[in-house]
Order: sequence, then structure tokens, then C-alpha cells
Amino acid sequence: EKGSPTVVGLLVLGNIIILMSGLALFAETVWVTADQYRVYPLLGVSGKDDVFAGAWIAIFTGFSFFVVASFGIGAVLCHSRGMLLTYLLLMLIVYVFECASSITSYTHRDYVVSNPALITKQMLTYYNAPTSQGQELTRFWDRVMIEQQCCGTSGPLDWVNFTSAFREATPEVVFPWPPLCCRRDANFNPLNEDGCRLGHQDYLFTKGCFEHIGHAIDSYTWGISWFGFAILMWTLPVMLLAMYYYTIL
Amino acid sequence: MGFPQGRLLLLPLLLLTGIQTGTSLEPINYTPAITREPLEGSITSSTFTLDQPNDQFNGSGISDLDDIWLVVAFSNASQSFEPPQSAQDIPYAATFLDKKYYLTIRASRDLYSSKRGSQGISVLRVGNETNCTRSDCNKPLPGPGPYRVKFLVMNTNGPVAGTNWSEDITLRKPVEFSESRPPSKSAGTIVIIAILSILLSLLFLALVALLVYTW
Repeated sequence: EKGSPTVVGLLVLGNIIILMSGLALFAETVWVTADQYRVYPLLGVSGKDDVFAGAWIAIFTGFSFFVVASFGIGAVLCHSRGMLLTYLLLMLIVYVFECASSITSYTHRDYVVSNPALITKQMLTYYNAPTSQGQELTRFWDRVMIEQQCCGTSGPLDWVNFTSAFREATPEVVFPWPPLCCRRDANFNPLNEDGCRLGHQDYLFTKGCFEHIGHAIDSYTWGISWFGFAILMWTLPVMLLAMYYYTIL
Repeated sequence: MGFPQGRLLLLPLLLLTGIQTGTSLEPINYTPAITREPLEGSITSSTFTLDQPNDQFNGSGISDLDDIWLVVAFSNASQSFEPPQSAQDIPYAATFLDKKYYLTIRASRDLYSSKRGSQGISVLRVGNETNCTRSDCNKPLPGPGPYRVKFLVMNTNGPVAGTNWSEDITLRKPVEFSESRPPSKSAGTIVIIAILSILLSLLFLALVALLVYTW
């Protein structure tokens, strides 16, 4: 029945913080999976959707942190060696999974939005392409361009400077960029079709959509990777302390 | 004194007569240029957009009924350009590749006056008409150029006046998009991977040491 009360107190406090953070991680990654920015089609078509895989793993690990840390509090207060060892082993497993989630999410985010190249290439290849992936991406870009009032990835000149599936369907003289890039009135009619064709900024969206897409994916990744990283940084000293407590029990 | 000076006198006379028989165009000191309006599509791969030459045709030799044409020529053919002497000789876009120049966008002095374009922007888009069947169509240009343009005033007797040639206008050539730079690992990735690997290995080693020590 040995065990100094300070170590017990510290361990209980540490585990309470872990269990609350775990619950917060669980709730936050449920939000990420719900994809309120609806950028999943972009990642899904490219095959680099492991930002969301990281989110699913973090849902599991967040809840596990909650459960195992509660068990840890019980083990510490019961002064039981067996329970403490079980706690340590379970925590190690959850730790490994959380590391995996954090690293996967961040690496895939880098792949997709560190520079506009991947998204631009995908947009030029799939927008208005007749395949099923093309239709999915066309719906995605149409929605983003209308909602965010932007055009193309870096701007409407993406469609002029590079060849694309859109260009094969629509010759440049007819419309140099998708007609959805035109500013429209409340009845969804273009304000001035000739002005839009010429590219006057009063009749065309000249902003690129990359900023919005990058912001959405960054929000998801920050919530999974950096938050998970912070929890892991805190969990390590708590576990080292628990190991020390195991030796003096 | 004598022979060399005699030759010198002859030369200026020849030059003067040369100028008069070749062209009788009144020169208008205006250089056509790509529009300065903030238009994204001022130069595309088959069209370009010029500022309208507003109020440039107020010379005495030009009347309200004269036609003002836009001459589009390949840059290397612009020096050897001879204005067509009558309305029947005018080359149109259909023979552009043979003759290396053509005339299009027929207008009059009244259309190029700043009083008209009070609302909106006044520009000329060369290459704007895709499906027209007239002879003087403003068809899309056949390649990246470079091209030069000038405005030519003609009446029933022939050419009357002309502006200067513009600078070279080179159109865009759309290329295949290439992901030239592989996506780089940002600093955050390196930090996360490095630190988490260290922490995980530390934890694992500590647990193994614990089990060995206390078993």
C-alpha cells in the first residue's frame, strides 16, 4: 500500500486532462468527417483522401483516450499494479494509432494543397470531361465557383493558358472560361455576357478558388494533426510518471 | 562642284517622286495598342482586344462617309504592306494566309467618337465572330502571330489616310499543364514526423525497460 500522494494526485490530474482532450478530439474529428466545406470530391478523385482517413482514426483514438484515461484514474486510485500495467499497455496502443492519424493527415494535406499544381491539373483534366469522375468534379467546381465567387484555381486565365477538357468542348472564341465564372444577377442571368467574355472585372470573377479550398483542407488538418500532436505531447510525461509510479508501488 | 554635286541633286528628286507615286496616304499620328482596360481576356490564343481609336479621324481629308478599316498583318509582312487602291481589291480574312494581311471591322468616323461610348467600355475585339458568312468577317486568328495592326481610311477613290502600325502582338499558346514541382514537404510535416517518432520510441523503450526491470 505504498505510493506517495503527490504522484497519485499528479497522475489523476494528468489523466483527467487526457480524457477531456480525448473527448474533444472525438467531437472535433466528427466535425471534420461531416465535411461542412464539402471538399471531399476533390480529394476522392485524386485518390489522396487520407486527410479523412486520419479523421476516422482520430475518432477512434479520441474516444479511446477517454476510456483508457478513466480506467487509468481507477487504476491509480486502487493502487493496483495489474490495472496500472494494463493501463500502460492500452495507452501505448492508442498512442501508436494517434501518431499514425496525425502523420497521415498532415502528409496528405501537403500533397494536395501545399501548392496549386495538383488541384489545377485535376480541374483542367476533369472539368466538363464526359466521364463519371468528370461529372462529379464539374458539379463540385460549379458549386464552389458560385458560392465563393471565384473562377478556376489561380484565376480565369488557367483556362486560357493551358489545354483542358473544357477547351475541347467549348472553343475559346465562344467562351474563354466557364460561363459560371460570370457575375450574375438575382435571376441567375449574367450581368453582361460580352463583358464576361472579354474578362472585365465587373462582369467576371477574377479571384481564384485555391484560397478557399486550401483554407478548408487546412482547417481539417490543423484540427486532426496539430491537436493530436498536442495531446500526444501531454500524454508522454503522464505515462512516464505512471511508469515511475508502477515501480514504487 | 560638277559631277558629284550633280548626282547629289538628282537623288533627292528621285526620292520625292518615289514617295508621291507610291502612297498618297495622309498619316494619322496614332498607334493602335492592346487595350489598357483591366480585362483578363485582352489577349487569348485566337483573339486580342484593342482600344477604340476614338476621335482620331478628324483630319480635313476624311469625311463622315469614308470607311475606316482595320488592317491585320503578320509582323514580317507589315513593312511591305501596300494599301488596296479600290474597294474591289480589298483582301479579306479568307486569303489571310496567302496575302499575309487582311482588312476587317468596317466602321465610320461616327462610330469612333468618344461621345458615343459614354456607358460601358469601348474596345475592339479582333477575332470576335465565329459563325458569320459575309466576306469581311472578323474571324478568329489562325495562330499565335506575331501580328501588327493599323487603321486605314478608304473612300470610293481609294485609300485616304492611315495610322501608324502597332507594336508586335503575340497571342497566347495554351500548353499542357505540367506539375513541374513535386509537392514539397512543408516544415510542419518534418516537425510532426520527427517529434512523434522520438516520443513513440521513447515511450516504447521506457515500457520495455519497466517490464524487464520489474519482472
